[in-house]
Amino acid sequence: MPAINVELRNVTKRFGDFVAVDNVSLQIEEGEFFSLLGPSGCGKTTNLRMIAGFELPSEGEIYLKGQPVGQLPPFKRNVNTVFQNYALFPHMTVGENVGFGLEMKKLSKADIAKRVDETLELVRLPNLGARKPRQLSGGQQQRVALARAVVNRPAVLLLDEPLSALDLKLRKTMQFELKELQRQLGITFIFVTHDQEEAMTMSDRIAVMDHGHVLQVGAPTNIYEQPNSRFVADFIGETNFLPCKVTHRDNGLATVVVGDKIKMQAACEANVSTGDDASLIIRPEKITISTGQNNNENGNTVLPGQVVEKVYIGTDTRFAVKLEDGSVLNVRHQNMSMDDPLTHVNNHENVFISWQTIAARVLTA
Amino acid sequence: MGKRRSLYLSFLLGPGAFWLLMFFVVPSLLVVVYSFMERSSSGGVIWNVSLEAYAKLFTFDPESLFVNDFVVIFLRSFWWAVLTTVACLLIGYPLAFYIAQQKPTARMILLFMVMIPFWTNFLVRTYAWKFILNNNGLINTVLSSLGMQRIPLINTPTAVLIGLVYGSLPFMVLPLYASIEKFDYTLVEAGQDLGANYFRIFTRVFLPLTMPGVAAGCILVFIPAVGQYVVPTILGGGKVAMLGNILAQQFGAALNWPFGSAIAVVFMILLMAGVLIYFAVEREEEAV
Repeated sequence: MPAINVELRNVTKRFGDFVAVDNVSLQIEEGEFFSLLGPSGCGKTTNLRMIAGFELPSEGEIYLKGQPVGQLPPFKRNVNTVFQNYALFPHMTVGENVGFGLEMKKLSKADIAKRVDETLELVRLPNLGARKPRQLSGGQQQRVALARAVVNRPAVLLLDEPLSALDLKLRKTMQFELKELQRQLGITFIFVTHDQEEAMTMSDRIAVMDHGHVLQVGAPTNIYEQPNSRFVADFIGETNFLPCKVTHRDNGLATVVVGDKIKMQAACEANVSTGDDASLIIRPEKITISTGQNNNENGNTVLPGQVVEKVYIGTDTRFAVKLEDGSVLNVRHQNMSMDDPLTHVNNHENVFISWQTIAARVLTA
Repeated sequence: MGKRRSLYLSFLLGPGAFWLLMFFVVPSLLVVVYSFMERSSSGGVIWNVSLEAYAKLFTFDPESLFVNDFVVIFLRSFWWAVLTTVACLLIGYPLAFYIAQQKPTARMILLFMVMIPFWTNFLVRTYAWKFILNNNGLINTVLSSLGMQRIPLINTPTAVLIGLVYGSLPFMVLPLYASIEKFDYTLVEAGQDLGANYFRIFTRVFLPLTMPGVAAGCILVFIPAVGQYVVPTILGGGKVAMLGNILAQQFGAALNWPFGSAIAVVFMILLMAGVLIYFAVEREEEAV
């Protein structure tokens, strides 16, 4: 098992009456790309700022390589940050910016120059050391900010929505480069973002936060396929929610009734018990839609329905299908060819939808 | 098109240009011209070109060098203006910093308080200081009622310096506030993050980035301080003259307008050179 690099133990941060981070415990492993994901105001940035030392926790302790650092000022922590607006020193050259941390550590001029050059090379900005930050493009400034942080070889690199100011295409490139850089350096990255796709693409593990709480921590597949709460299911990707009542549960499987009419089985979270009012979730791309009842094999849930809306968007067609009880499910159907019978399905036509029973999950409501 | 544009420009620039011409360019040229004329013993000048005034200015009389003559007054004015500027900077920087940290309402009130003295005539305010510093004034009354020795303040260099610092402080605080207020505090966090303690953040990040305010404040304080007339006259009692006094004396009692003009011209050139050098250095740094 890899060593724990950063640990938050029962950390709470209050600003006056407002609780920004509420009793959060996290363990981040050595060399991990870890994302804090959530909507604005969920406490993800406050968490990051407490690890950096810009905010001190009201309660709890933060450990860096096993040492408590929660009350240390930022300049005494072996942690570096890439700021959202880059926060480059405008009066210094790129080289002076990148060398600033080493200068503070009182390295010799020759050593500083050497490491600055190496690092600028690493972020693919060689020969730009003499420029001022304002003479660079947004993407270049981003790389300088990155170089200025990693040149210090920190135990952890903290990144506060570093890509949010870049345009979409550049952002995609930088996502790839960041991931590559992290792999090369082997430094633990803690990445704050509100962009679920960004977090999914880059992270080894993600912590989903809302209202100061960490709701779920796991690998991207884990978060996407097995969300443990309505919030996580809703925040990550697109999901259908069906309110239901649990009539029976048996190990990982529950039997539920949707809309007092439709009985079905689904995978089930541990905290759901018989008699609960719950939510059944199923992702649109996991539902198969067909004109005939031909998916009726074992382990599948098959339901009749009626098409109420159909939108062709090129790669797929999106259907809204109304079930017997009146609830509506969104379905994504990949367009295979023009011969696909579903290409010719019209509104109000009857269809069958089906999914693997364990693809649907029952969560507390 | 061209005509309309020139009309537009003369509308925007006309009044200001007229003002500068009438009240700055013409008087300045007049002073320069006067300095090259012959002295008229009844005041004014005789319209004959002469270098007499400059000759007098640049002839060093070893016997009178350390008495109340031009060189001493020049050096004293310069030195006191430097002291005033430094004192204003040392008082003004923390003050401006403090004001910039406050919530918007508190800021407004504090800035207002910095500017309130402008509502009263400077002469009146300087007379108020005379009352405070007098031998029977506020400070000495308090001292003697506490059983302590009275200290002579009025008509001493200390009194003049107090008056100079007092009068100049707002001109230091306002430009400093303007540049400190613009400062981006995430740069402080960036500095801390990179291992800089508060002292090094101040010297390497905060001070360099608020330097334009420091420079503007210093220029606004230094230049008027060098030529001060009111403060040394009232609080120095004529015993500790500055450049302003010597000018007043030459144009007044001594009735030597060319000499007074020559002093003014030389000083103007020195100050202008200083400011130009400053801007040249600044621009060079910008260009890197």
